Amino acid sequence: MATAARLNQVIGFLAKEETDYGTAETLSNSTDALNPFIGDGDPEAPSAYEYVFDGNLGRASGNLAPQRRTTPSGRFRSGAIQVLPKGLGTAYSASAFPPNEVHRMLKASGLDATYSATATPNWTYTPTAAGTTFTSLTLRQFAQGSQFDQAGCLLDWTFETQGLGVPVWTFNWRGVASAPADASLPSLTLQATSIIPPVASAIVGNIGAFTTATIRRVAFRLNRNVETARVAQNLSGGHAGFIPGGMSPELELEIERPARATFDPESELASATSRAVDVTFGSTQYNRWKLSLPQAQLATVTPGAEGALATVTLVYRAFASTPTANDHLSVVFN
Amino acid sequence: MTNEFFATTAADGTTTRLPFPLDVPLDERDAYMAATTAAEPPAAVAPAPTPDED
Repeated sequence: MATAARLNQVIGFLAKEETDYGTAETLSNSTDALNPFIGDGDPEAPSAYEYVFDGNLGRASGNLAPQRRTTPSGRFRSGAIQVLPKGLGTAYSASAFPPNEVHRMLKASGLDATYSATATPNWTYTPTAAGTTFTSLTLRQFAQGSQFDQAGCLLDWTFETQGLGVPVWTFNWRGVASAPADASLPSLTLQATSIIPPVASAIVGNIGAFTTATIRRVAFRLNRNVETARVAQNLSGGHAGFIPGGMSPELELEIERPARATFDPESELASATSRAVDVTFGSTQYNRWKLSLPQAQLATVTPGAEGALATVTLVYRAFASTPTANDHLSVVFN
Repeated sequence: MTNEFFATTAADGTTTRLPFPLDVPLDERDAYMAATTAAEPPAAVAPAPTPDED
């Protein structure tokens, strides 16, 4: 008796920045692979194809039964890729980046990457200026014995700590999709495979001058809009891709409730106090990363409890220092 | 655009962010950075012509 024709076991991703939005790049198994995170269980199934127009032609006038539909058009796909963030493990340079699943994914999430050798070699990611060319990815997914190709992919980014484990980054992507094809998972060259991602232990968290918070959980949401679709009737397929909107970064910190003399979040929320908020994961050079909201204000303050322990969850929302600055967020890999 | 930049410090100490062009390969970026500065140094003042001595 033959085994199942297709298994839901191994998966893989390739991603490369596009020179022109929506024009698919040639992908290489040796240089463009991402290292996805699937946890302990089996991977998620690949997401379904979606269509801007589903082909529906309404009901027949003589019997009110559905009419035969025409072919759907405006095909796109969206999905989520989870990764464990880590550094390169060796010195950064103008040509040595954090691994693809960090560098390329952050760029396609609406961030510019800047290399500096000061104070030590680092790559810093800050918001791409609106009105300029944004980074898009050609994305290939291998799953369930098939290959799924997308072009013009734009991403939104979130992450959340998992207790004391490695924080998991999630990139929600969407792009214009080609038809799938049979393909076994090829041999993919992953980057920095000997480097272990830093865990959420001994992290450094600063809420302005309040640097002694006992941190229980960290979550981040970039809140980038990638939903505006470009219907293009002149195009075969009818879908010209997506346009990104703005981002509204939010950093959520669950901490043990401090004495109000030390830090009074309800008071700071009421007075719209601005603070520089940052968290750093990892302490080894070239395998650590720091997320900063250089200017942030509390959006919500929610008291909580863990049994007899008083906690409070703070949500900080970033803002830019001037109406034209792009300094509301920075992610540093150094 | 590559949306990749490098930080460079001009002679007057100001730091500027300059883009890596698409047509500069990765292995030539270090040379490109070394050759590119944030601001060109002021042009050298041409020496005054030496008057002919009679």
